[in-house]
Amino acid sequence: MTTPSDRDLERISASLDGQLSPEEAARLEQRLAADPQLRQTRDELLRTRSLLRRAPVRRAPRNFTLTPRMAGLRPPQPRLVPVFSWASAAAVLALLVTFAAPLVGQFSSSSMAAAPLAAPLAAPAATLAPVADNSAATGLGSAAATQPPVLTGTQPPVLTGTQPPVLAGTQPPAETETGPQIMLMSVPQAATAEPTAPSLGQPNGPRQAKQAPVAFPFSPLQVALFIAALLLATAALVLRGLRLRAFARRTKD
Amino acid sequence: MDEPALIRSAQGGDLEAFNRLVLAYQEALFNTALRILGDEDQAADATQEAFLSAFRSLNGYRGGSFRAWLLRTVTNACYDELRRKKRRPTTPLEPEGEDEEELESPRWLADPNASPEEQLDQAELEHALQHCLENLPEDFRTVVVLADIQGLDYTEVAVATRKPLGTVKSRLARARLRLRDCLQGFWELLPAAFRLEEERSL
Repeated sequence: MTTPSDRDLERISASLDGQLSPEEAARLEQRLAADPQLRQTRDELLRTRSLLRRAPVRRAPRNFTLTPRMAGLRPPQPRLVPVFSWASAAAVLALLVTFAAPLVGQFSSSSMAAAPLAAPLAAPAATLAPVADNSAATGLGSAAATQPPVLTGTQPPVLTGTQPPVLAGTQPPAETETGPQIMLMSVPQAATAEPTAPSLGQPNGPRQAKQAPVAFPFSPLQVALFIAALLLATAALVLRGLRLRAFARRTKD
Repeated sequence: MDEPALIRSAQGGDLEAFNRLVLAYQEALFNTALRILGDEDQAADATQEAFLSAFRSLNGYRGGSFRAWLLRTVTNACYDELRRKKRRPTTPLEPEGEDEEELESPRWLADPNASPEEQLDQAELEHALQHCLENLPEDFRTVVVLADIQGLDYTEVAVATRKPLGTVKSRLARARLRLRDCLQGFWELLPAAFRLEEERSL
């Protein structure tokens, strides 16, 4: 099939849509009258266009109207919501810092660097065995009724002397350091030591009394931060919920 | 309410006003998408996407043919859809052979009021057109769909495609020529009624 030049093709196509100036149209008409090939192209393009115009129009399969939700219409959020949210997040972060800072400090300052960090995990396990040994020993000791003085006299030297090295490693920092996490570490020990206390008798009395105040292991700052984070997050959620409910009621009407 | 007033209200955030415009134009947008994409589900997705994007960018409309402006959003949505399709090509459930078995599919039977013969005629024509349209480069296809199927004038097509008038003219001419060549093969297969009518119109 012969094809006219691009220019001719564009002219013929534009003439079908009445897009030629009167002069251009007149010139094209002259050429069409003289050139049967050009005329044929014009006729075929016209036929093609009229077929395209007959393309069946499909009905839309559904309505494409938008719901407020789809349109992204959200209720204007109360300004306090992001403020509360961020403040709550900041409080949580600060809380984490209060827990992490002493650990880091201890890690860098302690010469027995690994022990304190491993302690929270190791402590319960570590304390169980020695205490069991200890109670077994004291059981025997109390049965023999000769051992108690050994335990009552000087607790730390006796412990380090008789306990396995694991406890010897963990015990001294617990006794000497005063950070909150150290208190945490010493709590399980105190708890596990309790059942054996009666059999140990007198000697453990002063030690327990000394550790009693640390039963609540969080500082006032930590408690305050925790409460603040909780309150701020709740306030943000409540504010947002109220606004959403009002918006849903309004858009339903 | 007239169209400019509805547009102004919609620009002010009135969703109900916008939805009235949606109802007025959804058929044009859906059919444009259908001819460009050749798939009903994808066309519906593109139409929905186009109306969403139109609502969001309604303040960017600064007068002129609203239809052309809307058709631009659907054209863009179709290009996105085509790009997605290229990234994840889907395998048709029944591979199309040369004889195009799906011609018999009810998907082609558009007008339920037409007689069975008319429906089949329409189906054959639609099938032939769709087949040939899909063989065109995307830019050509868009221009010819907007001009010859949607009946937009050159200026509107230029708005809808964001192309200069000269480009529109040239693409339309080439697209028509390619379609002529493609439809030539179908011409003898098309129902006699079409041919007689077309011959008379020449």
